[in-house]
Amino acid sequence: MDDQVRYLVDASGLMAWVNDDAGGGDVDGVIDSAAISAVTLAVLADQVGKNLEQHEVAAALDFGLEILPLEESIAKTVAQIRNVTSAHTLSLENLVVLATGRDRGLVIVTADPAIAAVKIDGTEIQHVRP
Amino acid sequence: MSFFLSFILRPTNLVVIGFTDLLSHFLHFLCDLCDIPNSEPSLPLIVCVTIFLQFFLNPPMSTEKPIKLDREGRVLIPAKLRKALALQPGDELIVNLVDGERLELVAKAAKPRIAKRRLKEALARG
Repeated sequence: MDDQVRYLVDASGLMAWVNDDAGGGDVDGVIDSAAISAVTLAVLADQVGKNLEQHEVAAALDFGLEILPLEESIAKTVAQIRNVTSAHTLSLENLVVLATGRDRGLVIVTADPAIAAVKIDGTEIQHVRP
Repeated sequence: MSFFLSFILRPTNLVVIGFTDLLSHFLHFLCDLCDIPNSEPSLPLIVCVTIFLQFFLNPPMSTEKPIKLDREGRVLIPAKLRKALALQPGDELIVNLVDGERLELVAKAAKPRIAKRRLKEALARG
């Protein structure tokens, strides 16, 4: 992983940024030192894939950001995180982002209050739409 | 022809054409009120004036002369293009092969924002 990467932006954070919603400016401030999970990319691809040709999808999702893969160690961390977040309603993408952020020591940037409400030791979560 | 059409169909040009057309009709209406002889400008004329003004005020940027590739495969980006993109020594650029025939240089820092615009347009279409 690139040494300059300090943040991990989830799908809700990226969508707030893309749509210039509340909190989008905060995402813009960190985007140059951010990465995204491959699962987040898949979520976005699912949203735009219906309207675009394949080459257009590739262009629209070519953020130039580092894409962090879903590795075996992260998949195992998802199970641990599931136990401590059972009170929250989280999607698989939410869990993968939390696990990736924890494993890689990145600040998670989200516009989703459900993720922002999660408390995981050693993992910082920045809610851009408080 | 496709370049011409794509230029005309740029959203900014369509907006300018729309405003110019509206303004010309308003002036025509004023002339009628004051009994000043005039002829209503045609839309093709308005389109031509708009295109001329767009090219004159905001010409497409390219090098006047072809630039040469050196032995190591390097090219020099002309100063006026570096200035237009606010490129600084040490900036990272990404080189894309487009349609198998053109090279596109994108400042790495600009790439997320270009993708943002494309994604926003894609979502708006849906």
